[in-house]
Amino acid sequence: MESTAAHSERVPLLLSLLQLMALVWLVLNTWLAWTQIGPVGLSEPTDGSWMALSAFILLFLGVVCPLFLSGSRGALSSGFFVLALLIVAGVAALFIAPTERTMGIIQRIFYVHLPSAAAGGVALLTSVFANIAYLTRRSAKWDWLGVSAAEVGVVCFTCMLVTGPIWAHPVWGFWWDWDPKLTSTFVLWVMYLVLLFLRTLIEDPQRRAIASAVFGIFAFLDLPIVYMSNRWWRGQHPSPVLAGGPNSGLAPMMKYVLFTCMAAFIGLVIILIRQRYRLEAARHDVEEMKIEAQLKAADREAR
Amino acid sequence: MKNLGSVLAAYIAVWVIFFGYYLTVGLRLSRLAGEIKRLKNSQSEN
Repeated sequence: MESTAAHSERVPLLLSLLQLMALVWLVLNTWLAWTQIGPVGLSEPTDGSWMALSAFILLFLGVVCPLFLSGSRGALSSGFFVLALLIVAGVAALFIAPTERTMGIIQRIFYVHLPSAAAGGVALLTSVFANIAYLTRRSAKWDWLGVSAAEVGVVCFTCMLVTGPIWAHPVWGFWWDWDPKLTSTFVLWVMYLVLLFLRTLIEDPQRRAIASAVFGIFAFLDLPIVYMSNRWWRGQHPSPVLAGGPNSGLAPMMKYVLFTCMAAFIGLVIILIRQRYRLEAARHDVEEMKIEAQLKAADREAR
Repeated sequence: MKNLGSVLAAYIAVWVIFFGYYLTVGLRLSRLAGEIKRLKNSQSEN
């Protein structure tokens, strides 16, 4: 018993230590980037994989680990870590990232535009995973996760669809173009809005969950099309800067700032999905309590 | 600083959308917590 108690005390301590290490790593790298020495692992020939790995280890240690292992205290510390990440990412995007030569400072919208899409992609992947899990396991918890992640995904893609035209207008001379990338993204956003609306039309929880899971899987099929659209077809939208072939790429410092922003946005999405999931669970509790109260009232009337 | 207004507009829009959403979820959650409390009270009265 004593060893179990000592273990349960040590785990949060270890997690706090890991989180502190992640925070030190983040602050150190930001300071090195600020002083133009360059973050750890950043050099001219780097392919960015080290920076991506560093950003996602940071995300895992600072946000995911405390969230799943140490209850509400962990959730609070994850929240603060995400806030720190967001502040660092904002400073890096606005002041540390080099100014792009052709577009000028308007290109800095890139550091919120692409991370919104990446975070939205993570949310929709979580949603489709939960949809499949619901159809195979039929546990209500998967339905709650599916709808929570879908709603957060819609929020992310709203950010992407708002920032895109603000960036496009001064560069292209117009706000919107029905090119493959923009059209497929808009279709994806509309389909997930339809999914959320569909749920409000079905009263029975089981039927609602099944319809939502099936429609969620169908809607998700558009996500790979969104990702591949500017690789498959030429359009107004620029070619991909990451994994886009030999002619694509970013300056190392831009890549560092981009990955920091992506880690911050994905961290925020994890926090939002968790919060939205709690809402769905509370909704379920209210429905159960109302049914219980109705049954008790009917029972009293019958007596 | 050409286009600074557009950059700031994009950043503010993202913060407003994300934190507005976070606030609406928080509000909905506190409303449900109030309802759970009310239902528990009425159950204990019965």
